[in-house]
Amino acid sequence: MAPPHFQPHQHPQLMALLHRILERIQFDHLDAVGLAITVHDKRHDEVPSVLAAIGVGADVAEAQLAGIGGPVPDALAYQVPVLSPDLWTDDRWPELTLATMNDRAPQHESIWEQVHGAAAVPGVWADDATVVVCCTLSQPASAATVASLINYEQLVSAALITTAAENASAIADIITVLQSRGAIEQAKGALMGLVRCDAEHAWRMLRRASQEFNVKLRELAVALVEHISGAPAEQPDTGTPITPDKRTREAARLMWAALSEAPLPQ
Amino acid sequence: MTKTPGVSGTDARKPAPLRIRLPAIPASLAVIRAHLRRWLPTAAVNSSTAAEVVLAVGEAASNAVEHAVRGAARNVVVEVTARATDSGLALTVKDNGHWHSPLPSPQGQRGHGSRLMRALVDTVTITPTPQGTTVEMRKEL
Amino acid sequence: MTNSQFQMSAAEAEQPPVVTASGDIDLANVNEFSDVLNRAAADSDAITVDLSEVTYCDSAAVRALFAVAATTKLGLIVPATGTIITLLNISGLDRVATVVTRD
Repeated sequence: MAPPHFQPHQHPQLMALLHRILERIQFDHLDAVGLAITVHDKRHDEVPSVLAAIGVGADVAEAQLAGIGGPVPDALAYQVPVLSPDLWTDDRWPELTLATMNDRAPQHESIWEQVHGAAAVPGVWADDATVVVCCTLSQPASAATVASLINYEQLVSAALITTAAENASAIADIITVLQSRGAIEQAKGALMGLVRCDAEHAWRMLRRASQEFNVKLRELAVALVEHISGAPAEQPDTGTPITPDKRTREAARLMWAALSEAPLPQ
Repeated sequence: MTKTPGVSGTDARKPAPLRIRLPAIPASLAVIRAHLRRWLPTAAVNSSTAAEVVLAVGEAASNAVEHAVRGAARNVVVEVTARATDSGLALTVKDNGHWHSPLPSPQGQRGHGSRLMRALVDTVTITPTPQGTTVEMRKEL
Repeated sequence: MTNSQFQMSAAEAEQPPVVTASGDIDLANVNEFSDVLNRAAADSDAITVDLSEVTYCDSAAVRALFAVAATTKLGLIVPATGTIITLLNISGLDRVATVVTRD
């Protein structure tokens, strides 16, 4: 029997995962002074709230949601990514200014002065429940900022969906993506090239294969890449190197053979 | 007769409500748009308002489809309904994915609400009914 | 028939390649749209995307346009009024792409 009301805050593993995702985003965006994940679960009449944040992310998201306006409420309302090259001077939100934020959160005055661009990308993780990943930068935000956040939003939504469905193995897989991004991205890239599909489809194929063959996903990814290229795969930055066993290598070989023979999808 | 821009005012001219149920897959989105485009003029909605309604519903339906795919739920159905009221249009978009469990509740079916974009319309009124939540959109011209 | 929905014309003289889209762009064909955008952007540091004949476009297309604008200078031709220009304004894509309106 599933729990009556899924409250993300009450799941420590999920919260830890969301923070790791934010840290990963920060690694990719060294000019971010604030990052936040905001959820809005309309099924239970909740108001939008910040679930996880780094730097000034919570303050800037909460200010926007409090009625000042900004990329976060717009992304939630319109379900479209929102980009602002220069947040304080953006005519879409005349009340969202340096002065306003200095009033609201004077303790961050030195940071508000550095703020330049911002971006917010929305997603849906349950019937009538949305999420927004947003960043505030000390540089102008660009289309590249949005493109990067679009990828991370998928991870965040996947984390929320799988936790809500109590899918422990899927959560482990998401952690895997963070840890061994290199080999998994390489494997996805190879699959996308072979089967002519997009990244999300390639990711699902990897997951399904790891379940069907009953092998660890990151080991399957490494084995696949090494089978295709004949060269060692990219290893994770931390922890012990991944060395797939014979069974996993066989699974990779079979998977690749099956896909190579399959007719191209329409 | 008070003129309500964009929508017919008398009962006699109200079209039959629209109800569409389709699998929550990308190909269904075009079908939903086609039905709406045929129906909206019968509710005396002008073409620019109609485009905004189609976008609001399209975005909500797209969310349902995208989410059905991500949640790897099977047999998800998306339902779109549209009817003309005295003051405007009432539209809903719902889906029935497996990954959330229905709450036991006195009304029987839990209200799903809808994900229409408030920003494309002037006011939104949400009314819970035994069948679920109805969202009324009012568009002033 | 989706084959002819997205056409690409190669760069000529000073003009960048142009991708012309028509009909509806949604989740079902946005990957195709992205493919054509990527092909046009592959050999050029600028592309023009003509959306003036597009009859439906939502956040799926906006995401695809953001993705190509991340690495390529983007010019957009859109109808002067309607939902497309509204979406460009809401999303802020009009602040990173050059938008020309056509009626």
